[in-house]
Amino acid sequence: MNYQSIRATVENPLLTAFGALVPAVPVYFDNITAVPPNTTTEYIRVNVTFGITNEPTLTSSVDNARGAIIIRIFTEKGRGPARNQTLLTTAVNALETLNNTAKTNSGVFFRVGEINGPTFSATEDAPHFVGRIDTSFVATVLS
Amino acid sequence: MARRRNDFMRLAKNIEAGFLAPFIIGVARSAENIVLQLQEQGPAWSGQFSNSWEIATSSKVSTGTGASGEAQRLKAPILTVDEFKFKPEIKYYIANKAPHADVALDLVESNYRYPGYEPIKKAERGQRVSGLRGDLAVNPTGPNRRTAPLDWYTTYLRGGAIDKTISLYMDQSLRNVKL
Repeated sequence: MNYQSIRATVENPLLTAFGALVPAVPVYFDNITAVPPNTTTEYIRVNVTFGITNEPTLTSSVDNARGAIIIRIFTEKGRGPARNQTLLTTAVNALETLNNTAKTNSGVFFRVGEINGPTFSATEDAPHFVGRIDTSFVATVLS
Repeated sequence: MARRRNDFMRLAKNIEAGFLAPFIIGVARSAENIVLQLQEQGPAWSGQFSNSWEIATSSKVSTGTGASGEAQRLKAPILTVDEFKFKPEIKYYIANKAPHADVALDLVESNYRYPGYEPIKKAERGQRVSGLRGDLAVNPTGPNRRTAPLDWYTTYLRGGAIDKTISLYMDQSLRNVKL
């Protein structure tokens, strides 16, 4: 099982999509502790978590993993949801491209499930308006 | 004639109830064990959140005590034959009724406040990165603590563990059926 290649399959398209925006929006993945210098600056937080690995009933292949992708979009509070929704659209589009990738003989075959959300929250204490989506994934490492 | 017909209908209903009983028990055990796993995997500082899960059918509700302390097992209400067969499509609703549930589920941000006593579950130390409960840069001398990892709930729901629990307890219940 190659968890790193599975993680890269999710992270790369998201990093590319948000990096291509003008201005580029920083994306923070798991175990990256850098906090944006200005807490009102917009940023993206992506968490990739693993659930069950090599569940025999899932497919005939045994090199597969299931998990979740959680994307949170932090934008400035008090400015309406428009900017947050624009960034959410970028995230959803990047996830959808993963489902359009054909199965090859090597690499990772990756499919995301239904996307849950977006849900929005803005608490009194926190400086951001937060949009959140999550989805399940099934990844098969093809050798 | 009418009485004989009523007796026959009653017998048919009893046979049907007997046939469906393992399925009904299986879904109830699945719901109970889902809550048990949520209690085990979720955060627990005072224990109030762990004891605030609720299992509901369309007609009955089992609610946790909401008390502090170790997690208590929650019994699921048993579905009637008609509830199992017909309505609604979703048989059980599982939700947490603690006032701070959204924070514990990592759905909204909050400020870390030390409540003045130690958690009942082993905690990890660190520094909060965003305002999310579990979003901690782990550091043994950090000022903040968490008793469950970030996104534990979404991982449980989406990572296949819930499906596995349901199939395990349905299998277990159906294994007792003798044909």
